[in-house]
Amino acid sequence: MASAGEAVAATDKTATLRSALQALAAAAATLPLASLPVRAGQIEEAKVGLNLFSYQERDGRIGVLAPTAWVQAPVARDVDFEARMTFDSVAGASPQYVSNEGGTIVHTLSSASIREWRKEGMLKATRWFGDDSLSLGADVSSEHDYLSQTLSADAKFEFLNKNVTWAIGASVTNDAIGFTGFPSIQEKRTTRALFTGITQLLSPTDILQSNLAYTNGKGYFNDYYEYTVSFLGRRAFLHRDQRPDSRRSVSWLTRWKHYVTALGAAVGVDYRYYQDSWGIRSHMAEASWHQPLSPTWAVRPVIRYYTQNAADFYATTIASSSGVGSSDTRLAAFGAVTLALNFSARLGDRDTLELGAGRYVQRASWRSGGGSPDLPRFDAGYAMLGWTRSF
Amino acid sequence: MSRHCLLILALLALAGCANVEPWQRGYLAKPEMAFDPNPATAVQMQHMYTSKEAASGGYGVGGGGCGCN
Repeated sequence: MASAGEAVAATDKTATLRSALQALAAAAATLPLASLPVRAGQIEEAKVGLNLFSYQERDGRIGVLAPTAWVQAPVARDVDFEARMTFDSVAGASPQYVSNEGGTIVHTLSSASIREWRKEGMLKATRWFGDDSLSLGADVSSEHDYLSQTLSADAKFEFLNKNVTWAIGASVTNDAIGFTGFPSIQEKRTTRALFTGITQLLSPTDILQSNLAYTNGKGYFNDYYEYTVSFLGRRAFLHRDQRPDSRRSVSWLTRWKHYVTALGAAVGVDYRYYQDSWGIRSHMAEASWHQPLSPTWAVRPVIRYYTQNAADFYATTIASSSGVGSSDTRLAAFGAVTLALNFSARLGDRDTLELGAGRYVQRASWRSGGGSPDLPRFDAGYAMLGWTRSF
Repeated sequence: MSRHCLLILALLALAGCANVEPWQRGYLAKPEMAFDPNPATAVQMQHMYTSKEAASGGYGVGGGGCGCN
């Protein structure tokens, strides 16, 4: 049996140990929290960035050079602000018509090289209410024959000790479509979208996000510049691209990120299922690996696979001069693969440099079950250079 | 489709049981753990895919339309 003195000594030791543990826990709780955002998703420091994106299709097709400037900053205690401006320069030839004149299907590019510009501007303001937030956004994209204007709103709510974030949102896009050489004609399209998503912490090294989006578009969906020339027997038909005047779609995107503590690496896996009222079903899977190479440099290889079936009205031979039908290859059945390699460098405490390049390839045969016959091969490459400064 | 739905719903249901304390979120707060580390790059990539593929969406609301698609 322990003596009273031993019992007092043991009690003192226990109290000392408890006090030490409490101090240690307090210190441990303080250290990592210093690097965490006060509220998930909140902009804690101002950032400005410049990006230069270059995209080139093979065989003399479209090339794009797109510089982008962006800024995000807290402008008041409970208000964040984001803005982005992009200027696209587009040059090259685009698909113009599909014909079976020689007995085989041939996709022909426009004979004249185009040169167009597109300007896009985005503004977004976020107001925080405790841990929850409400954002309002506006986006305008302008080309010589196309004007698109979007208004959006979304809200985010935190639950369960901030282990779960629920997002909901809605947007309306009004498009005005003009035609080169016919300035008096203008078609319209309105697309309404709804969005909801859950982001869930799975473990200290895993985070999962699952988003569901619905769109409902009504109006003009045709590509006025594309047509199909079909020779059937002794008759020939010239059919201008014509699509249904409505389109409803559902997208379900799920993203998972995992931190590999042994390697200091971050792994990402995305999967998206899509279907719409034009009969298109699509699957997309993407995987990335962010690996630090040194205290300054990191590399991030990315692989992406995409597949879709053809729209109900996709055809390369159309025995009619009117009615719904399109030979647009983007509505065909195919598979596509993207391989990309990105590097990033931390230059001091405030600057980050990013550079990357990738190749995007479409093949009919890469679709499980086979793709659209006579679909031409499609190859494109892109490169990106980005700089970000934090304040 | 239904199998994919069940798998994702099962993951979310399992996730509901998880509780990651604030002091356990150091790795999750690293910039490379963001779903889109560079917002401008993410927008440009989605714009490229939208102009070449029939499917799009799922990343959030907003973003303008384009004559390229």
